[in-house]
Amino acid sequence: MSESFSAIFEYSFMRHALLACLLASIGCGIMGTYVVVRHIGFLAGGIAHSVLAGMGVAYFTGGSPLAGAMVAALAAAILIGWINLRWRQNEDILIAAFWSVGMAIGILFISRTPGYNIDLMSYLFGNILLVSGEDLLLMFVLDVVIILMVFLFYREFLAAAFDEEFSRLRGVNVEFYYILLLCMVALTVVLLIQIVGLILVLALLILPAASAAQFVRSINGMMILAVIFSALLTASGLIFSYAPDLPSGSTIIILAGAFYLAAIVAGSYLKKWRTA
Amino acid sequence: MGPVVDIREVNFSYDGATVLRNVSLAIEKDEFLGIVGPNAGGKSTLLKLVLGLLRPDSGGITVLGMTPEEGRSRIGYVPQHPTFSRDFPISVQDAVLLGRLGIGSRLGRYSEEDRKIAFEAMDAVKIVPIRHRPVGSLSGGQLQRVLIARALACRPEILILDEPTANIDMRAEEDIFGLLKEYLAHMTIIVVSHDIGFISGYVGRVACLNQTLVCHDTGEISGRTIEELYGTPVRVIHHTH
Repeated sequence: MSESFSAIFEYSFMRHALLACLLASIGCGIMGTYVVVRHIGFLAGGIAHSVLAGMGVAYFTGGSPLAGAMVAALAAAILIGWINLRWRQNEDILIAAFWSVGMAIGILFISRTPGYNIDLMSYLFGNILLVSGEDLLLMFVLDVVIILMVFLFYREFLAAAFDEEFSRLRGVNVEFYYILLLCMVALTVVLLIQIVGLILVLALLILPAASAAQFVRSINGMMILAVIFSALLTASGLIFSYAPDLPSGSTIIILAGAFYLAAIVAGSYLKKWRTA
Repeated sequence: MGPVVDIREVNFSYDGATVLRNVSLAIEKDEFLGIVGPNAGGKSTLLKLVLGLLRPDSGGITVLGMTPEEGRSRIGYVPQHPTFSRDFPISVQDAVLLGRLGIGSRLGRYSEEDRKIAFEAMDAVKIVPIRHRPVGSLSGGQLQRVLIARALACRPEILILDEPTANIDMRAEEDIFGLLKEYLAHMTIIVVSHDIGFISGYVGRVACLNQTLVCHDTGEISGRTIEELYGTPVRVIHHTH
């Protein structure tokens, strides 16, 4: 264990990785809260998986995979949101279609990319130890965008998530804020792909916020606690995985899953204690 | 100034089935109007038309001289059932504050004024002591008061209540309308109810709606008009005012 701790300060890649965990946790806790209270976990999953299409195309054309991921995530968010608003009854089918068609496009392009056979695994499961200084800067910018949007439109997001009909009557453009929310979820997915890859991103987006929901009863409280949980889980997952050379993304997700179970149990005791 | 809500010869149908036939109704400023009628008689549909959530097939509706979409920001609406999920993590106070949306400060936080108005609204329906509780922990009657407080926090010129007595026991009903009567003296109020005996004790005029609409002053209501409305004899519970 002590070996892991000293490594954090010795190697710049470990410092980068830890910083990446903290930066990702900010977006993850804030947007994860909205995903949980609006019950759009699988919609977020659909966006996350369709990201591979953008990464594949970017790789094929020699562009930046992360830029490709961002374009694909935003496109998927807008399309899923827009189609969902028009043909609401088909949400699950829509998600499934984006989920697998997105991945299929990505794999097609990656397979056709000439030359060096890229490590598909690091897209799918993340490779936090390869996070560069540029990546960190991008993550920082994404966090700033998310915080700014939530600060400016906190009430509108809350109202639209809480009570659509009433919000509409109060002049809130519910459809606009729904699509904006999905776009911000898309940006968060791109943030988190660095840490755990696009397959595991769904768990990291949802589990810290869902754990937080067991203990607090306000949106702000959930956001703050989810950021803290997420930072603790990602950082400790990273540290645990280092010495035995385990895949860090998977270690983080398993920790998050175990933590969620513990949170449910602790939360139920807390409720009993409060009502007693 | 003309009527606050003006409904002129409105027809409406769902998938070919007529719901409202040639309905006209002018609601004057500060009126306390009851709309009664059997289930599926078109009461909620009429409200949705006034709120601009539905459009009439023919005829016209104005709210404060504007289209329903423009005018509805000045309507406080209390739905029959909460339109939100009860497990949403939000306190009573924050739910009521959402009534201030679209009024006052546009971006970011609520102003002191917003908080003061929300507090007064909660005070009016006596929910100040439970303002920090999550909405998920409330009883049906308490939830109903939260919905009313949220509508009052809009500082509306028109207050619309859809079946406010549907989910509460009689004592709580009595209570809420007692409060409404004092607090809402300077507001136009429209109450929809299937419970004619209860409603006629408070309102100034009753509109009976069963596809078509007939208005009565409350003094005129007799067993006979009710029979006409429902098509079957109805037991009338007499009450003194």
